This record gives sequence, C-alpha cells and structure tokens, in this order.
Amino acid sequence: MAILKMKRLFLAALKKDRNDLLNELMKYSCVEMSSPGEGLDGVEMTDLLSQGEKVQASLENDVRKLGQTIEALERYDKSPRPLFAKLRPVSDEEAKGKLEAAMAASDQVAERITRLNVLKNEEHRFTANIASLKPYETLDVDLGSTDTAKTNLIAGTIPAASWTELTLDESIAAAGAELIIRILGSDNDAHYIFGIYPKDREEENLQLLKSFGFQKAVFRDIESGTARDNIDTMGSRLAEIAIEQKAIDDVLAEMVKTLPDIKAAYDSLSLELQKDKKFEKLMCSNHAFFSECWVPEESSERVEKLLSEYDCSYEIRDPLEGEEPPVQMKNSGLVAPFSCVTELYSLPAYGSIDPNPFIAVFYPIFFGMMLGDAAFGAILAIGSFTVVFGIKPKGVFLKKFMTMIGICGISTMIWGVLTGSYFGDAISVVGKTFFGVEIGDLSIVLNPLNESMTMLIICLAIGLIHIFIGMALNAYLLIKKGKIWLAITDVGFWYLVIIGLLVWALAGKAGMYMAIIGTAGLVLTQGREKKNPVMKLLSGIMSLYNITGYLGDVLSYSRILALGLSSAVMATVFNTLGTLLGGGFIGAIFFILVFAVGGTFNLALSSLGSFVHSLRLNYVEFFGKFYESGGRAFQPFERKTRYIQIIDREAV
Amino acid sequence: MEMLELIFGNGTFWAVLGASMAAMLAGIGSAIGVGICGEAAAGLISEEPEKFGQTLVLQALPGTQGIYGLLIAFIIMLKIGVIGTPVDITLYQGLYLFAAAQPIAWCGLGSAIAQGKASAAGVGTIAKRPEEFAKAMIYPAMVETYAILSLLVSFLMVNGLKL
Repeated sequence: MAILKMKRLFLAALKKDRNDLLNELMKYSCVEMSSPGEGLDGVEMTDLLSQGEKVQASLENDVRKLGQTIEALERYDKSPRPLFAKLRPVSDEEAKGKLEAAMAASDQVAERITRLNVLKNEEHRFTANIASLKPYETLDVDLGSTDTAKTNLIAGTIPAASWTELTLDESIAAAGAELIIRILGSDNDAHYIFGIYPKDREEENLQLLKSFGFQKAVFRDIESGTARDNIDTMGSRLAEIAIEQKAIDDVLAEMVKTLPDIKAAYDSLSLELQKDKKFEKLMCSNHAFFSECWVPEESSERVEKLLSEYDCSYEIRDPLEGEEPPVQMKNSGLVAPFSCVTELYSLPAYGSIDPNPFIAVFYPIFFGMMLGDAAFGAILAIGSFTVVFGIKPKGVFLKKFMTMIGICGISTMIWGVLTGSYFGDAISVVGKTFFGVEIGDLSIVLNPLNESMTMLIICLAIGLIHIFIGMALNAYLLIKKGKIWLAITDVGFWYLVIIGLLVWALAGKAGMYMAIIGTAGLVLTQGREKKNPVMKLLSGIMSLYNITGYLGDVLSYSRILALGLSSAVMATVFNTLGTLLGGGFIGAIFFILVFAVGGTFNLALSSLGSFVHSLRLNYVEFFGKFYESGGRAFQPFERKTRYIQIIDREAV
Repeated sequence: MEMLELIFGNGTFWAVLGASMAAMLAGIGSAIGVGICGEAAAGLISEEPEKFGQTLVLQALPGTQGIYGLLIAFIIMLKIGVIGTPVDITLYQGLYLFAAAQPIAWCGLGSAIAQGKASAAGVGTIAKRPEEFAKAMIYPAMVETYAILSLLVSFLMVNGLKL
C-alpha cells in the first residue's frame, strides 16, 4: 500500500560470471541496472574503465530475421486472432532447443518471400503490358518489325474528343500528306489508331500526326509477333506465375504450423540480445564489470543472497540526498487494479503519497453512481472478469484495467439495485405493456429521477468528503516534511472555514465562530510572502477568494447526479420508444429490437462517460489538493518477451 | 392576429418549441463537434490505422451534448403528453418549460463545438504519444463539465414543474 523504498546497490563482478549472474538477475526482475556514473570513492569510473562489449551484429540480425519470419507467416495464419493475446508457457531449454530449426525455417521463408516478390513484380508488369496491348488486338501486324521496304507503320493514340475518322481523313487530305490512318478502337479519352506512311516523307507526316495530338504507343517486353500473339504468350506466363505463387503460398501456409516454435526461438534469442545490450552499457575493466543499481528494499535481501553466491563485491545503502530513486508502487488485493488510474496520470514523486487506496474506494463509488444500473453493472462485471480470469490476457496493465472495470461493474450493480434501475425502467415498462401488470417503484433507498434534490445533496456530500481527504493528505505530506505550521495555516484554517460555514448553515451560531476564526487565520497568514504589512493584509484578504475554488470543486461532483440521470433517462427513452407498437407479438419483437440496439448504445456511451468523468474527479478535484507527480518508473532488468512465458526449472 | 394568438397563446406550442430547441441546438453542436474531431481522426488513421479505437473514443466525447438535449426534449415531451396521454397545459407552464430547455440548448451548442476542438487536439496528442491517451481524454472532459451543469439545471427545472 505504498511507494516502495529503494536501496542503492553497487555491484562489481567478474566477467566470467556475467552470463549466469545476468540471467539470474533477469529472472528476479527486481534490479534496475545502469552504468556507474560518479564512481566509487570519488574516482571517476570512466577514466579507469571502458564501455562493455559491443553487441554482436549477427545476434541482432538473427533476432530481426526471426521477427520478420514471424511477421510473414502470421499473414498466412488463418486461425482466428484472439482479442487479447496470451503468453504461452515454455521452458527455457525447450525454447533454446527450437533455435536451430527456427533459423532454418526462417531461411526457407525468406527465400520463398523473395521469390514471391519477384513473381509479383513480373505479374504486375505483364498485366500492365496486356492492358496496353489490348486496344491493338485486331492489328494484324508484327510489332517486332514495324516497317516495310518503303513504308513505316505506326500505332498510338489521339484524343477522342477532337477527332473522328472522317475529320482525320479530311485534315490529311487538306495537308496533302500521304498518310493512311485507321481507328482500331476508342474509349472515353482516346482513339487507338494505326497509320502507314512512306518512309521518304517521314518528317512531314510525324509533324502532321503531332498536330493531331498523336502519342506513339509503347510496347514493352515484345520482340516479335502481333499484339494478339503477345497477349496470348503473356497470358499463359501469367497463368504459370499464378500456379507458382499458389504453390509457394501453400508451402508457407503449411509452415504456419511451426510458428509457435519460431516464436519461442525468437523470444529466447531476443532475451540473449537484451542481456548483451544491458552488458554493453555497463562499465568494464579487463576481468570485471561494474554497475550501479536500484533495488526495492523488500527485495534487497534476496538479491544479496544471490550475489553472495558469486565471486563479486557489492554494497547496498540508502539513497543519498540528490539521488532520485525510481518509483514502484506496491498494492495488494483490491487496491492493486486501481493503480492504473495513477499510472494513466503520472507516477507520484518518490517519497510522496501513494493515492491508490483512496482511489480504490472513491473511483468505483463515482463510477457506480454515474452508470447506476444493475443490469449494466452485471454486464460490465461479467464481461471484465471473463476476460481477466477466463482468457488471462498478457500485459499487466490490461489485466489491472479489466479488473478495475469489473469492480466498478459490481459497484454499479449495487447502486442500480439501491435505486431500482434494471435497464432503466425496463421491468415496469415490460410489465405494463405486455402483461398488463403495474409494477411500482423498485428502488430500495431512493429513486434519483423523483428525488433528484436529495440525490444532488448526497453527491455533493461525497464530493466534500473526497476533497477533505485530499486536503488531509496534503497536511500529512506537509507534516512529514516538517512543515507543521504550513499544515495548520494552509489546510487547518480552510477546514475551519468550510466546516464552520456548513455548520452555520445547518445547525447554527457555533459554526459562525468557527468560520470567523478560520477566516481571521487565513487573512493573517496567507500574505506571509509579502514584505510590506499592507500588502500582507491585502494578500491575506485576497486569499479568501479561494473559497470559490472550493465551491467550484464541490459543485463539480454534481456531475455524478447528471450522468446518472442521463443514463437512466436514456434507458427510459429507448424503453418508451420500444413500446410504440403496443403489446402483442409484433410489438414484442419491435421492443426487443429497440431494446437491444438502444441498450448497447446507452451502455457504451454511458460507461465511457462514467469512466472519463470518474477519472476527472480524481485527477482534477482530488489530485489537485495534494498530489506530487513526476516520479520516474522503476524499470527492472527483466525478461521482456512477446510470445512466450519462460518457466524456470525450479518452478516446474 | 387571431392566428398569432392561437399559436403564441398556446402553452403546448411553447413547450414543444423548448423541446425542439433542446434537441436541435445541442444536436447541431454535437454534430459539428464530432465532425471536427472526425476530420482530425481520419487524417491520423491514414497513417496509423491501428489507432482507430482510440480516436473513436475521442470522437464520441463531444457527442454527449446531443444526447443531453434529447433527454431534456424527451422529458418535456413525456410531461406534456406528446408521448402517452396528452395533458392540457397553461400558457405559463408552456413558457416555463420553454425557458427551462434553454440552458442545455445553448450551452450544448457551444460546448460541443469547443469540446470537438479539444478532442481533435487530443487526436494530435495520441498521434505522437498514444500512451498519453488518458490525458487526451481529460481535456475534452473538462469542457463537458459545463454541458453537464446545464443539463442538470434544465433537468431540475423541468422536473420541478408539477402538472
């Protein structure tokens, strides 16, 4: 239930133990390792030592190659993708054993993918060629030799909009040229033509053709034969390509079977790479390596025990002033899932407060009151817990998040039962429309639709408690830092003012005196930063203006009521719309349709609203009072795998 | 003249006008807001289609004002019996309902557009730093506060009228 205390660990170990030691530390995953900076005993480490060994390029290449193979094969994997990925448990030896086969498979896959790319290029080229030949299909001329002894043959396009065969002939006649043009076919843009002219008048004819807007056709990959012949040969080549592609695709699809093994090999190899990369950053002498680490206090004994098994020297001490230890929050049980609210915001600074226990109380209350429907809550709870316990997704954050939503679902259910909301007023609507039964108000405590003022006061009261806790935490932090006086002036006096005003409004005079004492305290102390006594007093008086801030903060909790009403009324809207066709069979079918569509829509939108606005109340109103953010997350040296979970021998 | 009196002297007319404005103005606001965010999101999706889910959530945020307007319109309609059994209401009651619908109508219009812009900016945030999704959601939610307050005021006023 707290931010873990961190210890500084200096480690100097022998290079020969490097592999085993790093393996063990990786398994423990409770040590953050980095290269030593300032150095031991005031000696600059960097002067004495060199950077660790470079990572082998071949290792990096192999990891990349396996990654590419997995990516390529996954495209052939037709089995349905699970919505939430899972890690497959594999033992270390087993994963290592797959390596050789995986590398071989990877070579095969790479070779076939290259071949597929070649084929694909060829396919594109021939398809384009055929498309460009198609208009000249009827031209019975060998495209490889387009001239005779005395004449030249040309083929190409002219703009369709400007010419017809008739106008072309007229223009040729007018120019007095010896040129024959025939249109082979046309589309929207162009006439596909061929022409013939005497060789000795080439220049003049080309000039004339140019004035028609003529563009010579370009045929690629053609040596001889008519357009028709070439289309046929290219077509049959395309068919061959398709067959070869199919064959390769089949082989690759077959290789999908080996995908789990390749994935295991990938993770096993990438762990080696991670280890080498970590080592690369550490400092080394000829026979030893050095590292500065952070270890959570609770794990330091375990780490010490491990280190004592090796020939190494180490020192563990408390962090010095000026050192900034990383932050790791530890919460147990029901509080743990709610740490994702804090993680989504920003980690608390080292040495400040872990707010998660408070969030674990208030977040589900807010969420439950905002959504406030027993049926919706049940759906959320069942859905989330099915994911968490049934599917067991990888990813710590996702698991925590889903658990949190599940808990909020339960809170929503409870609140829904108390206020008598089951898909809004669905039960009484169905009862009345289809069975002619009047079912009254199902609420146990109160119905927010009818008693909205009571509900509003409840919301504001919860908000006030929330804000008071935030202020108390601020006071606690101030006292912990030894600023007791500040805790009294900045928090205590405000307590007096706010509680005093409340008591005055509700109970009577006693409150007035409380408020006056508090106000006087604020006026006298809040100007402490100014030097001039007049300015001191003025700043003190101005600080009273902050009461609007507190007022605004409390009123902000009215959103709980508003969002609660919104989801309830929206449900009523759909339920009422559903009864528009009345009772009976058709009416029932219509009702079910409207109910299903509308209910899904309402659930999606209202849960999103409840989620976001519960976050906001915690971030803005609550955190604003005390939270010190800016902690750096603890990043232990650990096994980062994508596909498998390594099981250790001891654990089996 | 008689015609005018027939219309403007009629309580039901005013109540229906109020309901229309609540649904219409807040709806227009949401349509614009969702549109603004959708444009930004579509741009991001062309580069990184895997962020579709996140952007969709951001785009949904300015859509709530339209629903708030619909809710108030619906409660007014229930009250005066457009849905269900018709109720005769006086000119005063009609004007009261008309006035009660104004907060969510106008604040819905303005806040949804502003929220759409904040959401669109949030799309820019997750384009560069998808891990900051929660923060990108909080900024539009800050804008929504004022629509929620209007919804609350409109609701309390409409609900407060006993027919």
